[in-house]
Amino acid sequence: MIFQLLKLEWRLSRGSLAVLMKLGFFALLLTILFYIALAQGMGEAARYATQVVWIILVMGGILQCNRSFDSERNGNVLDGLRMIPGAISALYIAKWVANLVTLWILLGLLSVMIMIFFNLAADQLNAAFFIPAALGLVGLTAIGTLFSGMVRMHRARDMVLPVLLIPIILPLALMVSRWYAAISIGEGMWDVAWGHLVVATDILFFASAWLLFPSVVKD
Amino acid sequence: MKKIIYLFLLIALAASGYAIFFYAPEEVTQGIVQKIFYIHVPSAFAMYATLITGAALGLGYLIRRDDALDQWAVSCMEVALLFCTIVLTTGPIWAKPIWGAWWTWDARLTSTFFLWLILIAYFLLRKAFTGTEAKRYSAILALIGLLDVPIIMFAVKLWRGAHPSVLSAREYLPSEMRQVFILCILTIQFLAWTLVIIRKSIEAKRRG
Repeated sequence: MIFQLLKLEWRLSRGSLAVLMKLGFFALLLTILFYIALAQGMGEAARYATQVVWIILVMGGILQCNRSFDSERNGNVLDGLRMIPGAISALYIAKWVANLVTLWILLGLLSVMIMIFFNLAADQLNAAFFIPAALGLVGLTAIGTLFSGMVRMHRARDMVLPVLLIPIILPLALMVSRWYAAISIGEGMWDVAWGHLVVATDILFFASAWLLFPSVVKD
Repeated sequence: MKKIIYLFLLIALAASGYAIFFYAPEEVTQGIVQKIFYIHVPSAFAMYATLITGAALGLGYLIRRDDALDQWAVSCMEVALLFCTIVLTTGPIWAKPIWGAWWTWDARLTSTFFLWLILIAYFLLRKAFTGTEAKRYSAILALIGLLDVPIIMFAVKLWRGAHPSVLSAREYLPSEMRQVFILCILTIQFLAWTLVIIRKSIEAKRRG
């Protein structure tokens, strides 16, 4: 059932390729804004490149998670799914995977933008550049998808979701930032505690969100 | 019964106030400002006790859908927010003369601040929704927030730490200070749970 729902999510997301374009454009605009704010001289901004990537992904992640349940807002889709045993948990996983894959694609697009605008060498886009943010997104989307289910019918959901989500993901945001900071001073990627903490938090966030999701959609 | 509880609470608060200012000796290096320790640390204990209970009651609500459990949960969370605010207010008052700054991004300060943000989010959520949605969603947020507590503590502690560890320092307190500290913990716990009971009765009346 998870695969059927995933296929459905994939078809829906293919139909809304425009959303990925908008996210990419949003990321481009933020990259420029961050560059303007941080660049005090040639090469200066490059020091902050990974931190900028992560913050843009957090912002993009909130936007992406916010629209997770757009297709279920109208009609009685969720009412129908409630009737099928196991469908709600499968729906959560499908939504989470869709959000995560979209943001991983955004990470790929963003890395090119950052390389260009922050003057990074191509070899700087290595595993140490991608893995912390990619793993951070696992926990972010796990909680983001859960909360998106909560606010799906709310009039001011664009405002409500960040207000609920950011306090919860602050420690995860801190961990990924510290992980990047440790890597930037020459520490091995898995030699510091931060990476292990991020993975542990991802597992905890995903497990709790997956277990609690049925309570979000069932009255 | 209520009047007797309030009377005992008043006596406990007066006795604690007396003990803080007239029985506990003044700390040699920090002076009078150290006395805030008797409010600051017990308030943190009260915050954690009510927060954990509030989240547990939220879980109970998700399982049993009993309205009374939600009333207890929201009362506990509100008292947790109150004590979290007290901790965040008394901390800088203590820190300014000792560390020379109102605020430092120290491990405990930051983790308490993150926790305060989660508690604020909890009440914003309760305002944003009505009926069973507000109850279910706030219970979910409280549970995720509670799971977040050890993560916050661990992450922020790893990040930086200038804050003294109170639990280990307690063993080195002079006996008068330790006695007053224990009295204050008991008094503030008494105050916190009395507030929870009062808040619950208000909530029950409000919901009819």
